Amino acid sequence: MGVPRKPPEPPSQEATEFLERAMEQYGKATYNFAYRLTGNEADARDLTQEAFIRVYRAWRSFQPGTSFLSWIYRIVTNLHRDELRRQKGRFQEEIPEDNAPQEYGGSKPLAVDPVEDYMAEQLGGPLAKALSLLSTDQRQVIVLADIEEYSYQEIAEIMGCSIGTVRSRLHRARALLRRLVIREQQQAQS
Amino acid sequence: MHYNADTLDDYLHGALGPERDATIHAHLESCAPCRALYDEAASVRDWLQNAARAEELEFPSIIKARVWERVRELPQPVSFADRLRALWRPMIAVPVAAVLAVFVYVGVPGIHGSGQPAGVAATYLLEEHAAVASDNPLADRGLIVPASMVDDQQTSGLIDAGDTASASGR
Repeated sequence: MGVPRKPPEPPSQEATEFLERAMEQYGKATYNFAYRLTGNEADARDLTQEAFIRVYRAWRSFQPGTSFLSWIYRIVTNLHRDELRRQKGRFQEEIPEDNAPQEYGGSKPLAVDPVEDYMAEQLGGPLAKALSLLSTDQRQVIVLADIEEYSYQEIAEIMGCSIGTVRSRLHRARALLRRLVIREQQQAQS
Repeated sequence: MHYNADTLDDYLHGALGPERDATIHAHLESCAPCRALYDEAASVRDWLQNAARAEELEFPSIIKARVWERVRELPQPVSFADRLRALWRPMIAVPVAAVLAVFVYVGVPGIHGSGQPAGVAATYLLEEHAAVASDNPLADRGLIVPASMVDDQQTSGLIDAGDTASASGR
């Protein structure tokens, strides 16, 4: 997988070229990752936009030869976590525990536009609905392990936690999803 | 012996060591219940991946536009040449030049006169003052007078006056 290369000298012209290439090559993957974490397009847009701003500001810290996607996924994961904390502080809501199923989903939209919220809920497919059953941490780990196919070690680095934590979150999340997926598959067959 | 769902999840994700991985691989060949559990785990994964592909979204162009808009608002990095150029602004250049001028004036000998040191010898001042004081001894008794310029008479007079004053005070 090619990654944007860091040029030897860092004038702003090269920072903009770096950003342009990053958005061109990884914009779609980043946006989809953000969408799976947030569960709605409005928040996914904001999250992706903020992530690329961070990429522009910190582009010199990117290590050439390493995975750009892992880097930007880490940025997105951190931004999403920070945003949820801000929301929690603002509304005094509690972020659900790892193993707590959620009525409205850990993907409770961050957007405040009720029309956008409604549209996002209506347009969400089976995956979005399945992921909404999970807590934020579980959703992150399922997306990274099962959809993006990262190793436990890579997920631990992206999420900034231990491999043991990754493993336990994944097991809980998959136990929840297993029931749902089997039901979905049975409905599809009948 | 059977493996639980968590272990089979780890096996599915390739998260086990090579020996354990090989053991489970061989076990699944012969154990129907474990094979069924593993197939279930694999089907969850397949379902997630298929659903992800089906729900894949295009990258909205509005994000790119907004990013560039925000980037234009960010403070741009300043080059070394720009930093040097900034030093020529009058607000910085004038005080710096003034300080430099003072240093040069004070520090470089010969730039401000004959090249003599700025100070005057202390002995000159003392001798000059002693000469004035000897012309008019009452002008200033408090000033320092070199011992060589003071005669015995003046000294005894001063001592007598002091003794008289202290005697009357008793």
